[in-house]
Amino acid sequence: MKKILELDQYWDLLNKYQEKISDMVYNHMMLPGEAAPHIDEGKLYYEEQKDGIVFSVKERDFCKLYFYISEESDIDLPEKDRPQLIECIYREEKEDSHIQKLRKKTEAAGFCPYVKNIRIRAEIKEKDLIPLDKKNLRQDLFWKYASEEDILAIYELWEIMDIYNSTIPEEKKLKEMLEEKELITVWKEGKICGVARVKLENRRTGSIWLITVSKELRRQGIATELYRLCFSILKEKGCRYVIQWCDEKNQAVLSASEKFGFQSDGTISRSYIQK
Amino acid sequence: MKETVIEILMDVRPDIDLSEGVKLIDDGELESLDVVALVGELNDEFDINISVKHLVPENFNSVEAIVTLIESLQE
Repeated sequence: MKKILELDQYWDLLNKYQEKISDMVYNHMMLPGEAAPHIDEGKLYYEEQKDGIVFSVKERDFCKLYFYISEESDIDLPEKDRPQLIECIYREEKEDSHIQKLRKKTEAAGFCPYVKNIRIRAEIKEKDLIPLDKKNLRQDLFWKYASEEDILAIYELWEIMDIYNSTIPEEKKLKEMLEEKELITVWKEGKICGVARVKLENRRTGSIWLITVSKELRRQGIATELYRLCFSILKEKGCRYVIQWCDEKNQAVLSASEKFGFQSDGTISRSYIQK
Repeated sequence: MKETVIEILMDVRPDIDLSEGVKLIDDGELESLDVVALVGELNDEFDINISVKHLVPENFNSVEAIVTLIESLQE
């Protein structure tokens, strides 16, 4: 596969195949705004095929494939150098026929259904906010924005996460998040016991990612405090809504987020894997 | 035409902020799924063919830009 070096190159390739293939199907239309961060990080690759083109976002432990192929053709997998995932993103009530076709082709190519993530959304309510000038969340808990000396502890906390179903950043990206004050940590007895990433999606909407609580300290209300913190930080940045992706089977996240009024917004990401 | 475009936008994204000055793509009001859905609706409603090459932010950043795109494709 060849690396995409700039956004125009990606755009030109997509245009070329859209003009060439009248009956194109795809698992997700990656618009420039989504492709640009992958290109900046040097993660976006492509392979031109007889009946279409495939893009690959190469993460350290896996890659995500995005096919743009003719309706009639089968999935032609690029050479495999790490586990491959095909992610189909759609709105539940409007699952387009091209997504259905791509999903069938994915299963025919030997991929197994791996995870179904749903996007949940909540409106930020005053009752859920905490004063950010106070660093103590409770008598035994305090919070701070993560800094470089916390990196190891943060990665340790994230070790429990599913490597194929998360967006754990590589160290360079993580350092950028530190600079942007996107990572928040919660401490108990001198140790980090919780972490989360908050990010601005648009002027009114923020998002929560990688929310994690130390395994041995669960069921102590730490996740609830983390959510309050995330909401308060996003509110301060001007957000009215918060979104989060989660595995539809992850009861821990679903029940914690329910308290804050999160509900599905109908957007679904279904991943298929070939390890 | 402008009213129809607004109706379609509200249908695709009921909570969309169409205030003056808001850039629908650059400000993140529309995401890729919305754009794909919007293109399908616009193609059907106005009997045009919006292709990938038209999916640049400039064509979707405002209602006016979308109207201009439709008009150019109808010529």
